[in-house]
Amino acid sequence: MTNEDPRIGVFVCKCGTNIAKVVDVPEVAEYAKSLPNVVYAGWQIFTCSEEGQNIIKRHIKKHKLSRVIVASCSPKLHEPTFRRTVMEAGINPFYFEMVNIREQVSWAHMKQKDEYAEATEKAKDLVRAGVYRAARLESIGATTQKVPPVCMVIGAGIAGIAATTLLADNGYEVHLVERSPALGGKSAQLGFVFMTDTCGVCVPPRHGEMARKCLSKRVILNDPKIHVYTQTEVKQFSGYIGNFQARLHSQPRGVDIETCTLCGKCMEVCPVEVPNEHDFGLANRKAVYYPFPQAVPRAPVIDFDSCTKCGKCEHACPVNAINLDEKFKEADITVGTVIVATGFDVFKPEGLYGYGEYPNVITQLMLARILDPMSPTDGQLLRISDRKLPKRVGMIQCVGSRDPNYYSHCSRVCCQVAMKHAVYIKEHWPETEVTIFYKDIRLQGKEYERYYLDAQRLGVKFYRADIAEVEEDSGKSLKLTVDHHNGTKESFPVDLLVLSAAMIPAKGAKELARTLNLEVDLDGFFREYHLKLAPVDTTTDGIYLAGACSSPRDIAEASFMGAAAASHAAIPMSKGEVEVDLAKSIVDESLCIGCANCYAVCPYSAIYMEGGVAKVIEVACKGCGICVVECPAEAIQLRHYRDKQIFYQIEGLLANVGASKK
Amino acid sequence: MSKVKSKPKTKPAKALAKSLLTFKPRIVSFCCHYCSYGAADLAGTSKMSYPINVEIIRVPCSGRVDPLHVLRAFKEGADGVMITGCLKDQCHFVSGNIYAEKRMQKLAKELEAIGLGGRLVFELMSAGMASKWVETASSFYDQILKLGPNPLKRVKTGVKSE
Repeated sequence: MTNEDPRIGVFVCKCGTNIAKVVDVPEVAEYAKSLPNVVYAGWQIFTCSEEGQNIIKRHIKKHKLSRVIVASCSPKLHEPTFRRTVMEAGINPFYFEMVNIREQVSWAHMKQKDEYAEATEKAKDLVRAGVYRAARLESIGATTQKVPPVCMVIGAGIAGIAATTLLADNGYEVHLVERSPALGGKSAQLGFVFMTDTCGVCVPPRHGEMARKCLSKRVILNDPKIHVYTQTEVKQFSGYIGNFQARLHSQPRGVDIETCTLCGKCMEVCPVEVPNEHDFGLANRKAVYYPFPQAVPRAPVIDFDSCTKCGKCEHACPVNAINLDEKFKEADITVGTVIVATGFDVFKPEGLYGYGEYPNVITQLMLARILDPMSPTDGQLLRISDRKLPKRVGMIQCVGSRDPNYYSHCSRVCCQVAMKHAVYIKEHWPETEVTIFYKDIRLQGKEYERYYLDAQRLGVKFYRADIAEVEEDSGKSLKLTVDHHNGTKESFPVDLLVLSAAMIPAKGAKELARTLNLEVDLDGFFREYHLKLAPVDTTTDGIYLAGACSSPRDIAEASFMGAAAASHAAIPMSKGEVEVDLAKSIVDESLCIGCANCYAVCPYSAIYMEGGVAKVIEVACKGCGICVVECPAEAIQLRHYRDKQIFYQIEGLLANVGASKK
Repeated sequence: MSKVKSKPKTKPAKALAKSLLTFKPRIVSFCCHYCSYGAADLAGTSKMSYPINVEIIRVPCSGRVDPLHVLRAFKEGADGVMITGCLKDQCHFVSGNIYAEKRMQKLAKELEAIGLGGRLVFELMSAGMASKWVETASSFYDQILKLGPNPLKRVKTGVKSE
C-alpha cells in the first residue's frame, strides 16, 4: 500500500437532533481537525441528504481529499449511500470509512443524561479510530463473473413451479428438483383451495391459463427449457453465483416414464398392499402405484421399501417398462442461480389433544383429504373409527403454533383452513355441528373475511377457550374439557376432533441449509437477507428463496413469491454477468509457505493450492477473513480488513489512553 | 452457550483502591458485521443503555479477529476486550464463530498466564439479541471494574507501535 499523504476529510452529522441532542457535534468536528492527515473537518445537519452529499463532493474537490469519513449512523444503513457519493466525486469507494456515532453513541447513551460529555468523548474516540484506519485504506477494484442463463429450482410445490414456469417462459433453462415422485407439493393434498375453492392440483399457474396449464396437463414436462428430476435430492453443492455445482441424487423409480403406456396392469397384479401416505392411510395402495390420481409425471412408481421383488409386474408389463433392479442415478449440473422452494411440513401433534392416541383426532390436512372429492372417501365427511358421519365436529386452533413449548410463530393459514372446512361441512351436512376453539381469529386481506361471515351465517360456533383435556368415551367420541381459569370447567362432546397443526420447516431443511450454506431462523425456516428490503434474497449471492420455506405462507403468497424469486434470479442471468468487488482475501505468494491452513478452513472452497502456494478464487471468496488468522506466514490478507488496518484502528481508538485525563 | 471467561486471579492491591474510585475501564469490542454489530445497533435503536466506554471495532466475522488484535488492544491500554459473533449454526460465514471460539479459548488461557486473566470475553448472539449485547457489555464492564486497570497501561506511555 503506498499511501503518500492521505488527505482525509471528516464529515460529522447531527442527524437533526438524533446525534446532536447527546453529542456536541461541532466539538467533535473541531477535534477531528487536530488528527493526523485530516485536511478538512466539518459538521452537517443531515449528511445523507442530497444537499449533504453535494457538500461532501464539493469539499472533495476543494481540498483534494483522498479519503472520506462520515461520522453518523450505522454503516448498515448508509455505507452504500456514501460509497456512491465518493465514487461520483472520483474516489474509490473503499477509501470511504463510516463511523457510527448514532446507534453506538447518541442513541445508546441517550438515557445516561449526566454522561453526555463522556458520550462526546466516545464519539471523538471513534472518529479518531476511523481517521487512523482511513489513512491505511486501499483502493479496491471489481471483477466480473459470467452468469449462465440456467437456474436450479429445489422443490416443485406452488412456489417452485411458479418460479420454474416463469423462468422458462422468459427463456431461461431450469432444472427442477423434487424429492417426492410427483410434482405439486402439499397443494396436491389440499383438495379444493381458497380463495377460489378450485382444485389444489390445478393451482400452480401460468399467466391466465389456469385450467389448461394445470399440473395434470403436463406442461412442465413438455417444456424443452425445463428439466424435471423427481425422487431427487441435492447431495453436494458448491460454487458461487454464475458457477454453482450441484450433484443430484435420484432414487430409482422402477418404471420408465417414456415407455410406460399407463395400462395399469402392473398395479393389478402387484400382491403387496400398504397404506397410501397421500391419503393418510384412508385407503391402501400397491407397491407399484400412482402417488395420487392426477400425479405428474404420469407413470406409476415402485415403492422399493415395500416391494418384495416378486417380479409379477415385470411379467405383466406389455412394454417392458419395469426394471426392478434399477439403481439410483447421479447427475452433476452447473447453474448460474438457485431458487430454494422446499416448502413446509405439518407439525405432527403427537401427545397433544389425544392425537396419535384416539383415532378420531386428526389434523386439518387429513380432513382436507377426507373432504376432497378425489379421495378414497369420495369426499364424504366421516370419522375414522366407524366411517360414519360425525354429528359434532370440533376444531382446535394454534396447535403447536404460537406456543412457546413448540413453535413461536403464527402459522397464518390455519384460521383460513378451519373456516374453509367449517363452511364446507355446514354447506354439505347442515345437521352437523361445527365448533371452532380458538385463541384469536386471524383472517386478513382480500376475500378471507367472506369465509368468516359465511361461517357465522351458517351457524358455525366460535369458542374462545383453552382446552385443558381431551378424553375418549366408550363410543369413540371425545370429550373436550375447557378450563376457564376461574375454578370452573366446561365439557364439550365431539365426534371428530380436527387439530389445526402448525406449519413447520420441511423435513431435511436443516440438512439442506448446511449443504447450500443458508441461514435458518430460530424456528428452522430459511432466513431471508432482509425481511422487507430483500425478502427473496439470501446472504449468498445467486441463491433465492420462494414460498413457505422461509415463513408460513398461503398459496397466493407462495405463488407470487415464486414469481418474485424468478424475477430476482433473472437479474444476473439476463445481464449475463455480475460485478464482484475485490474486498477479498489475497495471497502474497512470496511469503506463502504452502501449508494449506487457509485452504483447510475456508468455508467456501474459495482457496486452492497450485505450485506450492495458495490461490484465491476471488468470486467465491466471501470476505470473512477466517483464513487470515490461520496463516502462520502472514501471507494471506483480507483486503479492507488487513491486519495493518485493524491494528491502526485499535491504536487510534486507544491513542488517548494514559495521555489525557480520560 | 459458550463462554470464555478466565477467572480473575489477582485482586487490586489496597494501595490502588483510591485511584480505582475514578477508574473507568476502556473496553474494545470486536463485533461481527452480520450479527453482534446488528445487536449493538439494535440496542442503540431501542435506546438501551450500556457503559459508555465500551467501544466497537467492526470486523466482517468474528473469525477475522486475530489473537494478535486482542493483544494489540491490551498493549494500547484496553482494560478489557470483548468479542462477539453469530449464534452457533447461524454464522453468516458458516463456521467463523466456531474458529473464533477455539482461538479465544486458547488465548484466554495464555492471557491468564501473563496476568491478564479475566480481561477477555467471548459471546455469541444474533442480530436481534440487543439485550444480550447490553447484558454482556454491562457485566463484562463490572468484571473489569473489579479487576482494576490493565497493568500494561503503565508501560504504554511513551511506547508507540510501529
